[in-house]
Amino acid sequence: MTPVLRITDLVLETGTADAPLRPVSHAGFEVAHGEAFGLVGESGSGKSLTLRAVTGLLPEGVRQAGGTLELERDGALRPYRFAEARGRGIGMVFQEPMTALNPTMRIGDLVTAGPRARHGWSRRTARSRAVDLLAEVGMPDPAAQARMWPHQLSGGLRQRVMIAMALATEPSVLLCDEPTTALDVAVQDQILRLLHRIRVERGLSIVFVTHDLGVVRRLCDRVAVMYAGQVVETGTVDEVFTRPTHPYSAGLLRSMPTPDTPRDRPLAAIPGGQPGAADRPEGCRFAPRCAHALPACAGLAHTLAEVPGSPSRSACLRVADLGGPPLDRKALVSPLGGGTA
Amino acid sequence: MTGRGRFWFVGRRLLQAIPLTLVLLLLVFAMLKVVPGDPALQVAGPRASAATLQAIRVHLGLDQPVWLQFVHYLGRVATGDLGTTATGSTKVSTLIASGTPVTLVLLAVSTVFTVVIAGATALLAARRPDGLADRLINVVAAFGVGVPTFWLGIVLLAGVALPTGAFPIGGWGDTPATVLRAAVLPALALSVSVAPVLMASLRSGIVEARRSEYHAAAQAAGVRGWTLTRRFVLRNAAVPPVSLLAALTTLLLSGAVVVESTFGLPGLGLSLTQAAQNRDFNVIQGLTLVFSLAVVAVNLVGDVLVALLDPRVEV
Repeated sequence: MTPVLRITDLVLETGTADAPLRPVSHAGFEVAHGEAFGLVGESGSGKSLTLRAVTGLLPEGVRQAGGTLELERDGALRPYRFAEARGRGIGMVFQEPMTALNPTMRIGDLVTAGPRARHGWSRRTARSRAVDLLAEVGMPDPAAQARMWPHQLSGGLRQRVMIAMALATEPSVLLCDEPTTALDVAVQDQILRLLHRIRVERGLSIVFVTHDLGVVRRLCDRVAVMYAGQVVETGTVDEVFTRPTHPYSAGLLRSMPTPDTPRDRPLAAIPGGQPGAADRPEGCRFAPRCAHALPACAGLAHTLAEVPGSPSRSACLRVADLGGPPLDRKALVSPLGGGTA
Repeated sequence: MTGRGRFWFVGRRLLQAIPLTLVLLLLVFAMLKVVPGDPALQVAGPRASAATLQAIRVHLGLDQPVWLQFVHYLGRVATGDLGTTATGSTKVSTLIASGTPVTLVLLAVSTVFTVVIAGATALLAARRPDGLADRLINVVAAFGVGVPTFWLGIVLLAGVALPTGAFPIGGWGDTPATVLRAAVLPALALSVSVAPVLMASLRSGIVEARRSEYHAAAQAAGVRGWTLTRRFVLRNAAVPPVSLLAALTTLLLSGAVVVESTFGLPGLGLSLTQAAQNRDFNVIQGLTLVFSLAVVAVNLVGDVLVALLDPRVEV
């Protein structure tokens, strides 16, 4: 089946044209209809920038220097114009509901500002549509909330408003940039359940950027792991979480505590740190920190290759001879199945 | 803020203005008290006898305790009695009544110019921060702040009014059309020093709004074009300049004093200049009061406008 969104060979640059830095180079992924896709990585891996590039809303000084962005239309993937995709195909939920809602607009006006101008809705139509959307995202007393200002709401409610605003354009893909990072734990759970419910009810696809592997485990079907501006592994969550095919993914997963993790020993950690955009090594960027690195790794060109005996794709050279016992990370957290949002 | 919240906000602000006004009146009253010299001596002349001086003091109420004099002063101000000019020919209140429309028109036209100039240049400069237009406007703005108003007034008279003949060489008009024409050049001279300050504030507000997350979030939600500019940029960027414009009124008023002299406009500013030259204290006192009250009123309006623009403002 045709994916709903495909990003290929995305290159993002900063700095001058003669000596550019590339915070993201050759990142790519594709998202199927109705799928929840996780984009995970440490801070600085380029995951949030990649997501922003999908809507063309890059921060000042960052530009797209290459890559193809395609959205499904009439059964085929076609390159899209940002203005067109923002109004229809793609919606986006931002990380900070404190700063992402315009403080000078009432909730109701804010939620439908985009479609109202596009479709020429009357104030009444826009208001009633806003109240419907606020009800859909589980706002208590939506008609009253529509008249409130953003600063009068709690963080969790603001994030619901943010989601309603993104849904107002009837997108087929919802991009979520760490939507629960700024919230406290109890509220995080509510927002995750809400996103899950909306995905099921609307049949939309969700791209979830996060550094929280537990969130990916609970919410996502497939995942891409980013390191130093590149995707190093991609596959189903079940597969990647139990049989990672890249030493970086494996290291990340091992560093995650489970209920069985002994408390008297330090957590497993990958030695060293992620290189910044200015000092990335040649070849495999993870090689200097990798316990399995070979001399050939320093000359490796980045490709995501198929892995023998696994549905995942990996950038690791030694994928065939690095088997090892499967990691048991299923006990960690249960996926979001039932429950209500 | 809800509608009722706004109502109370305005009410509270009005109440807060009352003590401020009283302090102002006290200061203006004290002005005369700290001026060296004996008013009775001034009235009677240097050769008056002690008895005459005392009689005059009683007549003027100067023999009473200062607080009682202040109460009497409040009573006179409340009835609009601000005394007469030094020559005794005209009431100060009459002088103020005739000068106020001139100064008001001058300030109104100048405010319109200021807002238009600042708005247009700020939008242009903010299009590309640190771009060519931005830097050019910045240089011109620095020049505008630095140029003395009286000099600019003379340049406008000699460089525009004289050669074109489109504007009067000073003086005021008697019909709305001639009044407006007479106000254009002095208002422009007045705006040039104030507009850059407002422009800088508006420009940085626009740049900040465009870089904000809510601007990106609005774009992601399909908001674009004029709606984006109006509701997600200008609306947010307008808050600091509005309160700034209220604060800049003092600058406009002092500028008006200069400009009215340069262009010979029969407004309050010209009266103030002449009164200062003639040491006409009643007039100075009356005008100071009017100017101070105007500043209080404008700041009140500014505060209310800011509260209407930014719902987070609560007092």
